[in-house]
Amino acid sequence: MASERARELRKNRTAAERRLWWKLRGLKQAGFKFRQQVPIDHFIVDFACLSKSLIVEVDGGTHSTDEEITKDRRREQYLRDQGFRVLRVWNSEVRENIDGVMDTIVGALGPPPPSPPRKREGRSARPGLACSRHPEPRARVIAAVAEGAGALGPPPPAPPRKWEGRPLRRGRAFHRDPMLDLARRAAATVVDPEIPVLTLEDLGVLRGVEWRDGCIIVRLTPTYTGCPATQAIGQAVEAALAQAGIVGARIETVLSPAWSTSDITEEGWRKLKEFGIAPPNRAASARALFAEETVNCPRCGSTATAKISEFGSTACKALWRCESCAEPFESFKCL
Amino acid sequence: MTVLFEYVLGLADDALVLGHRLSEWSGRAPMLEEDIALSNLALDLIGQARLFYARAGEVEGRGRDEDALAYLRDEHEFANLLLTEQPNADFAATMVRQLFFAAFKHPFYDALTRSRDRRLADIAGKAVKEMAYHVRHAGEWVIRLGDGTEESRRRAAAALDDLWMYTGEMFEVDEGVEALIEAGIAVDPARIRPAWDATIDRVLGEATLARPADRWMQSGGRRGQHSEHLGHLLAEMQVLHRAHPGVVW
Repeated sequence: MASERARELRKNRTAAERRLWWKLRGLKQAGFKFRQQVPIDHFIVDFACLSKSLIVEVDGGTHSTDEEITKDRRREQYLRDQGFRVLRVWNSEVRENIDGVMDTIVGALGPPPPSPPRKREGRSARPGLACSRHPEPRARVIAAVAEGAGALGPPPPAPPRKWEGRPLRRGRAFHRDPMLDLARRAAATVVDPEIPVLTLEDLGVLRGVEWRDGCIIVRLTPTYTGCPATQAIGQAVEAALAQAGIVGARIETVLSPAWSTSDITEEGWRKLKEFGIAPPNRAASARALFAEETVNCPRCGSTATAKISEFGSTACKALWRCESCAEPFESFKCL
Repeated sequence: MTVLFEYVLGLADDALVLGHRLSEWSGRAPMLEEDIALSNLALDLIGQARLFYARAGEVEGRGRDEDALAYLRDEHEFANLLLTEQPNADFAATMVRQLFFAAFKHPFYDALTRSRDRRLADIAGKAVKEMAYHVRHAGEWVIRLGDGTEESRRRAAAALDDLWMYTGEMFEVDEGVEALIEAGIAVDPARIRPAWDATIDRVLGEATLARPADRWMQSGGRRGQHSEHLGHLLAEMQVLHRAHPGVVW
């Protein structure tokens, strides 16, 4: 019984750590590099952001016995003596309130290390930069920075400045806006939820990032009108931007010109093939309605392939089988 | 209510009603691949419907969004083609219905990409690519069923015969739509006819099925006169939203 329970806890713990790691990695965009399972002297901590001396430990049920608590306390004291701050979160918190956990962590991190966006006007050093027109819905991160840092570290020197968000010197062709660059990078690296090897940039659905009325607008185009991933992608972009410190950005859906498989980049094409999905034919074909098509097996390259179904696990893929190596595979539909 | 609003609403209703019908196959299709395919077709249509509803709401200008238009109208306010609300019946009937519909909408959306209404043209630009797959999928199945076993052939022929009378409505225009055609906004369905005929003849030819003779055609869907099937469909589709107004996932 006991060992079964321990096994279950270990399993849960792994899931929670994985989930948190996924989020923590995203903070890299904002200039906070986290590592996992970091050896610090004779301890191994779950996660650490060394530049900020912040340790994040994920606790499961096994940490609630008296013995464990004493051991944890001793370990924590040692780490504190080395100049680290230790943040403990419960498995269940990660499972049920990952946003709250992230708010606390972002709060404890404080201002990001020097990076291009920070240099704008020399003073907007907060990870949360609100757009002037929509400060409300995404103001949580800023609030967490103010309060969380107070509770978990030295209080911030001043309340967060809201950045007014007017593009400087618009119209100068050579001016590069660091906020836009940051936003573009954050959005471009979001991965497609259904084909996780492809970033939005690889997929060619990111149509642009721009300023409008003091707000950052991320322009996305859907692959298929009914693709359920469209909404998930929008949410993931909002989250990635928020993690990069840009709050209140808006997603705009662009229909025209319609997305086509020829918008997939060279890099995306290569990744699809490596992932075992036959990439679409290079030229987006206006092929005749009932014309035959040839698809190479992504594993062995054979052209002796047969279509099993025009529709696959997602709107953008068809099911095929290789007659040479006998493997079934998916093929990206030409659109 | 403007003519343009009604026109766009009709396009949205066509896509939603048929999309919902196809979704009824989810988990019940004859085989796994087809289950996935039918759900994909349904998704495409529901995606198109959402865009058309959003446009219709804009045109109307009374603040109704896609949910209000899809869930809070009664059957007499729906302007979909009667073809789209016909029950799934058997797999052959579903595929014949899909062939009739897609063979029309594919060239129709292609023409709509040249509409003076920029938004409609943009939506059509997306939808036309999707419909090409629908034509091919339904076409291949009708060929397989017609030129298949005795049983599949019997069912395909029966479906053709049952559904043929709903094809005339696709080519009807009323005065309002005529004005929109002249304004370069709506598509003249008479110009779609040759492409539709060619696709149907080609598929039925390969399927070794006879094209039904033209005869009396049922219509009324565009004017809100529906078969009883639509009421049942809407009851199931709308019940959640009506029981919990404004509910979101």
